[in-house]
Amino acid sequence: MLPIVPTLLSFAAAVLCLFLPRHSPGLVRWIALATAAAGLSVSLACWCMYDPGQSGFQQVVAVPWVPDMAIWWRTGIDGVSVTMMVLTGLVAVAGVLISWDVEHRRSEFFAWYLVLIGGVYGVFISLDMVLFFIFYEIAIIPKYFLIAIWGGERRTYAAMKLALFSFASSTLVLFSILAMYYGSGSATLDITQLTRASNFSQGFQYAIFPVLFTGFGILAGMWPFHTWAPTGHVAAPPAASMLLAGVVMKLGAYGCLRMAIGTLPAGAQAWAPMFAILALAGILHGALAALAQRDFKYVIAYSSVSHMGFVLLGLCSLDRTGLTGSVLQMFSHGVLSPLLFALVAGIIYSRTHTRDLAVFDRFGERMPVIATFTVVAGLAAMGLPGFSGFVAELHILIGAWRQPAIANVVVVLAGVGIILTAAYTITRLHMAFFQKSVEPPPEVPWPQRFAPPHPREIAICVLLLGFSVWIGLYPSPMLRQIESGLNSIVAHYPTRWR
Amino acid sequence: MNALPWFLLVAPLLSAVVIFATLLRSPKVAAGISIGACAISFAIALGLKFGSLVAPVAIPWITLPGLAIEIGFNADALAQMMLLVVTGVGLLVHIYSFAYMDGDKGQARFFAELSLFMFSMLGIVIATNFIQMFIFWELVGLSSYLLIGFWFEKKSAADAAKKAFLVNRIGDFGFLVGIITFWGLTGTLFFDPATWTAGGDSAKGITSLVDLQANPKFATLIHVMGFGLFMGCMGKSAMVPLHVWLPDAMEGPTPVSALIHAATMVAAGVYMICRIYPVLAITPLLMTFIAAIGLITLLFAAVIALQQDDIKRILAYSTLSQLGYMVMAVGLGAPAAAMFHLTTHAFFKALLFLGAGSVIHAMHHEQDIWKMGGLWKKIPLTFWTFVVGTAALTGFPFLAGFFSKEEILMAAWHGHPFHFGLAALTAALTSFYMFRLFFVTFFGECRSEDAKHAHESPAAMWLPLVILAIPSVIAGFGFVGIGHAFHDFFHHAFPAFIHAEHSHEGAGIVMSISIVAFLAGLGAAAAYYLKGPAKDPMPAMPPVQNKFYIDYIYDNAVLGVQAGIARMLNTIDYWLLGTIFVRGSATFVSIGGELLRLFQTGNMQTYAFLFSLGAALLFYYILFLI
Repeated sequence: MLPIVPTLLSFAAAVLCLFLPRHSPGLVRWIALATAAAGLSVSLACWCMYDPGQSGFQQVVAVPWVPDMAIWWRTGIDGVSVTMMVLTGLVAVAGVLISWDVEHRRSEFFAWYLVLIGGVYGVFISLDMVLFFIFYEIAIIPKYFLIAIWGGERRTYAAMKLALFSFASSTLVLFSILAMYYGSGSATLDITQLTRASNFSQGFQYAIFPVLFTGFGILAGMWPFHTWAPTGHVAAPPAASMLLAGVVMKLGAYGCLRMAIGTLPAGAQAWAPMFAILALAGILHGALAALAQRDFKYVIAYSSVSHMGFVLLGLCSLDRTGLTGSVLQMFSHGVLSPLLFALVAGIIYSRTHTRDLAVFDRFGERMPVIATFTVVAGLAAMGLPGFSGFVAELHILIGAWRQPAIANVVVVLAGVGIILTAAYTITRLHMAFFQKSVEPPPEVPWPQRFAPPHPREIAICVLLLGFSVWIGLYPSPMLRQIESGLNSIVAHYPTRWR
Repeated sequence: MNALPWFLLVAPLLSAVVIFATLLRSPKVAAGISIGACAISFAIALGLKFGSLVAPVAIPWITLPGLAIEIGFNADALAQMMLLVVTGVGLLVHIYSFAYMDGDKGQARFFAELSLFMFSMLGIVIATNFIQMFIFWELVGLSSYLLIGFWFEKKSAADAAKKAFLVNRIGDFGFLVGIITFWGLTGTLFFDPATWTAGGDSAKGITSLVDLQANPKFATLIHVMGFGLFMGCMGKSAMVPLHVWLPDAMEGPTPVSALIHAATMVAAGVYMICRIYPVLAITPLLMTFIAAIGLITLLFAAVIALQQDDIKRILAYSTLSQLGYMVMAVGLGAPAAAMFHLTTHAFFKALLFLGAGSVIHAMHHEQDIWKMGGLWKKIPLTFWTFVVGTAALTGFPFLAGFFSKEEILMAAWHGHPFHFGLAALTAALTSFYMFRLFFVTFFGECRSEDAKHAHESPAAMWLPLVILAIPSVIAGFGFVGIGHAFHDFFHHAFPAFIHAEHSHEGAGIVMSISIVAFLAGLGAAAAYYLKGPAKDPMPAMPPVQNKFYIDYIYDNAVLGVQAGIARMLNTIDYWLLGTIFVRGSATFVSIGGELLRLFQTGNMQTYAFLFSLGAALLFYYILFLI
């Protein structure tokens, strides 16, 4: 029962936020914080209770819902989903903290925010394709409103673009689910069963896999359907950017893994090399585009595309090590990109009121603590040893290398992506913190010292960075959980190298 | 008790963490902790070499089916010697920095970063496997970035740090590709040759490196592996064409130059290719390439050093040149000679850099040798130790550098006349530019006010100079023993790959040639510079002064192309994809909306008609079709 709690709690709290009396505006954010913290605690409890020694899903709840159409409320967790739950909890807490000072229509803001969180939790625990899809849709709608109402420049354009891409994604996914319902022969949509005994015909798999993978891939920022991501991330308010990059993009990757790769092995083996090339294109395109930005938030947004390329490359490896790395990269990027968004779009922007790196004038001296956190977060995202990204990327590269269907050149070029990552990270950090401004600041000169970080802001940094360091230094426990969750999936794929 | 050697790593790490976390406002305590941590590391290194300490058990880090990585502790003879060099030179640099950095507002941060650097560097030395080495390899890159950019307010320092990091990262990329290829071919990540035979992919019939070499199926991959791994060395050890970061890195504080750009970080690349020597030696083409890169670097850097005016830059180019000797030695099949030269070079180059730091300190941070002159009377201790360092580097007979350089020349003498010729010529150039530096700095008239008022540095600065000078003078022959120790190590570790007997044939001729080269360089330098001219009597050679324009070409070509690609992609993103996917679908939706609007006329009759039509169709469907 426990894994259901965060979802239901978030929905309940969202409703509560809307019905709160108007004269106590402070209460709503405390409710949001308490809900997010409770969700995180429950997720951590689930994480600890999950036993990697046992195979299959744990804490399964299965209740017939629309029995005529074989739709069940079927939820449960394995090592992968429980890792994603912890990630959702972390980002949710950090997002509430960064939105503490939202004034405009606050109750609605937190209501949408909690609906989004609830939907995301729901996707990660769903074991029935229809239930999965319902939660997936629930997670998509609030994004539109969060951007369109509370966003920054070009928010309506960005929100519309995001919505269109999301609906395209949903359409492809829904089509595939219906096809699978009829194609499975057994008229079931139970993910566990379909994963355990994939009995789709080979031709069916060849046809449906690319549709399903592309459908989820759109949300994961797969090249060339990634263009919603930079504009959406940049226009969104900080908390929404954090959720978008941190967990919503992971929904797509999770769907690729759980549904496409888990249930259509023959299709995956046929198509993975092609999608690996798209993943590579995303890695390189994202990194090169980040190198050309002078808006700090666009740098982070494009870096997300690049990092999600690594996630997809790991998925395409169809290899135990590569898939483990891919899930770990989801977690790693899931904590680090929200951290960077919180810093760049929230903590720094609230002081400078600009994100144009060309006018940043040696902010390392003007905001030493914040600069330190940003530099450390940037280095962590860059894949420096000691942080989670390194472990994840190492697994992905090794996994992809031993997949014979993926050309070695692809892996080597992904390695070039690592150089480019270093290039944009270092050059942008220099522009922000260590260089004189290229152009004069807008009006008044910069203050000698900006306001020091609020304890709430430090809490965000420590919380998210702490998890990255923990995984970077001692990855074994989390790797064990993830790896055990992947057992049923990798069983479909022959081990080619030992 | 067996865990004790781990403090070699733990002490500097703790020092860095404690200082960063709590002591940034108390520089003296921070310095004390950092020096203490380094002393602990040095003591453990001594204990491993001469005492009864043994390597502790490895710590598992990642254990997955198909991938097991551990953090191990390698304490074989090669690692022991390297540990002594790193911690010994490191300790002296720490002590020296206590005085040199006194009064700097970032002194505590400096010591924290110094400790972090020691931690990373020692991690490389004791690594037992590729991933462990790569982890610390990257951390060395990070800590050198922090140290080079220590005075980040200065644009040149911040830029130099950035350059060093990115150029190193290019090398790291190759290293990573090499590591993954190695793992793919042998199924293991350990350096220990025993595991290469045991862990190989038996299904493919690979049981040793020799099998790999013999199997034409892997011809491409072993080349990828070898060149990739060597690329890692090229980045860290600053080989042409990845050399550009090292001279710029002189923007860091001088003790940093002494530590990381003379004795430790740049030596890591050479250490690495010696550690994995057989992996490279199975590819003859690669060995030729390594020797060629070494040769190009040693000659190229020496030529540039001839016309530099900044005291630290001359030393930086001389470091490049000496690293070229080491790498060439590996390429010529003499890793023992490379390690021997690495060891002696670490001591006398640290001595020279610290001496230069003492000069700069006395000159109030003036680095141009043409503003110095006549300093020998003002700072006698620095002067005499500098004499020793210069003599050792240039190959003055029976000092440390003489023996190690002679070993490398011997390796070239047997069958590589071209390499030998250029290496001997470079020995003469080395002697020339070092004595040029030496004469101009210390002899002649004082060319500036600062030079007239120079005074000797405090004891914490000259003491390390004296301590470093001693081995270079009196223990010259002692170093020969070290050379033999390295020979023994490589013979035992990689018997199949090291030529059976180190030949001494021709030793007399080689020794004579190297003495002649030394004297020729010294004589020419004396003729030009002994009297201490006011400006350089040598005709200026713009290509040499401008380092053959390589930095210029890089800055413009590489960055320009890269920025062009980046902008192009940005445009694609913004216009093409945005227009086709988004505007396209938006247009589709709006056209659909226009069509639908035709039905919304606001006319009651139309609505009623459509409603009845719909109802009629529905009834028809229900009644007649189901």
